[in-house]
Amino acid sequence: MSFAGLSLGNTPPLQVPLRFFVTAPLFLFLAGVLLLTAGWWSVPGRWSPLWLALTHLWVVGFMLMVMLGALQQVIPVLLGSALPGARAVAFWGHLLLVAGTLSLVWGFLSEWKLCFVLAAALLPAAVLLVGGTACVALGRSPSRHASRLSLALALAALGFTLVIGSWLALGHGGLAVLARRYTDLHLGWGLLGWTVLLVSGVAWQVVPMFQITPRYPLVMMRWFGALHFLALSVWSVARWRLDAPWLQWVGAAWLSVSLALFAAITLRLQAKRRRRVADSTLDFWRLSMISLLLAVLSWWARRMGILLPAPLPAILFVTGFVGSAILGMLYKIVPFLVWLHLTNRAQASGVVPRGLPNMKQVIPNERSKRLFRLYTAWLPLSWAAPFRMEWLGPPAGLLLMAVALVLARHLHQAVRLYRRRRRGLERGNGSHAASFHSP
Amino acid sequence: MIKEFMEKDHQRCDRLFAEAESLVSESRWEEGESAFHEMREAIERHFSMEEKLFFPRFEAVSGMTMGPTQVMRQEHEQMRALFDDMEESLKAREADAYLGDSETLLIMMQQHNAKEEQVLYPMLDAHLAVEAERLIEEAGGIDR
Repeated sequence: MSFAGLSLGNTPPLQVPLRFFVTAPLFLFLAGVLLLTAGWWSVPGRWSPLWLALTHLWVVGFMLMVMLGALQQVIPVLLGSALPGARAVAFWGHLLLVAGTLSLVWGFLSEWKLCFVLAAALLPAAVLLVGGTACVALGRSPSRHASRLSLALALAALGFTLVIGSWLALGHGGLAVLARRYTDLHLGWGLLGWTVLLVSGVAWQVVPMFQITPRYPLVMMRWFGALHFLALSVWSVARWRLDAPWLQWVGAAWLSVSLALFAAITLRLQAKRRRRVADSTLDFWRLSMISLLLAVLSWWARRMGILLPAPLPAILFVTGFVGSAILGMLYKIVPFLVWLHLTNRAQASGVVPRGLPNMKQVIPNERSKRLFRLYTAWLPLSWAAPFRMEWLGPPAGLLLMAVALVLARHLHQAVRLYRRRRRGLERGNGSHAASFHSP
Repeated sequence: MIKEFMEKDHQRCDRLFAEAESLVSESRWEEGESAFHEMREAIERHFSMEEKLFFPRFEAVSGMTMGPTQVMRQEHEQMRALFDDMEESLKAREADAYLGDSETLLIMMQQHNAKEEQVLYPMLDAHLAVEAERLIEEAGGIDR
């Protein structure tokens, strides 16, 4: 076993994950604005500028933004390996990601070709920078935990998603033939690959941690990532290379079983939790897993001929499964990081870290409950919107803007509290409640 | 083998943590207080096994004195500060303050345990293989 690169204490500077987290609500807000104006867009359907802009605001501006931020925190803490050049990588990665997302979205809305070319350069650069450094850290990690393989496969899937995405963007930009038949491949590897592998890889560790549940079965943690990746590969090859419908069904069935198994086992573990206190993160996670089951069911229902809008399974997946999981995680990670960085700072200056704001003082229960209620009110609207976009778009847009504003406010309050207390520590008065020097 | 022994102890501490938290959340103060003390006792004993026995032996054999074990000791201090805050809240019968600190302790403790179980304990096992059995026996006799 190699212990090179071992860094048990190296939690990255707070601004590394935080700059990604605090930017995400901005893109949620923009998505809300677009939904609000849904009725004004004349071209309906999957290829309309509105849909393309909306989906990318959500999956890149919100999902990828938070996920890349979290990845930079999770690898050092859960797998004991720091990302090289963490501060600079986060700064440039974030800047490139924000600029790339804005160009892409503006490209869809304005159909200005240059925007797509810019996005095809900026977004891969962002992911290459953050994802590449994450790969180096994973390679150096001394941990043999199943999370490591899941995260490595997730990054491979993200790379593949990005290659196809950039090619499609160049198609929109007029520099390549626009190969729309590969859009499902882009979508499949982004959602079922990168997203599922990342969420599951993190879940192996955080689900038992947060609620003191039994651990996931060892055999599941060991094989899930590889088998899921293989299922996605089978589905892709069957559909785009072999043109073999039967194999495509095998791939789709295998993927469905994999997703349903992950959701069902997570719910079962959570039902067996030892921790019985009310917790918004638990509520968000349950909502997330139930939505994942609904997404799988609705996909099969459509295949069986039940008349459901084509985008429904994907919407259930991104807003229900991923959106809920992300919000649940943010309301745990951000308060913990604020406390941890204040504590580390106090300790470094020789002060016993007492009386510092605990997690519930950084984001009180009422705030996380408020966001949960608001989000659960918005979710059904997001699922119903594709049935009647012109009616349901505006209320869905307004409510999403409210979700974004509340989230932004809670994160902002946490950052302000951190800054205030850090200044207090720097002035040398330790904490307000108790400040005495270590013996 | 040190890994398995210490992992089991982590799980015991987790159980005691959940018990104390749930009693306090129901305002069952007296039972909550005794459950808290039982948890604190168990975790302090766990820290002692590491700080008095496993870490010094590991440092002596590996020569790594300022590395991972030092970080773990610092985190123990952070958790001890939380215990003190929690004890004060218990005395003042302030459930919200206790639950906020206990939530913080849980996440701190869990990420601490993850690093130990995945990185540090395998290192202990690798460096202390020949004396592991004796050390575990000795650890069983440590009070706190």
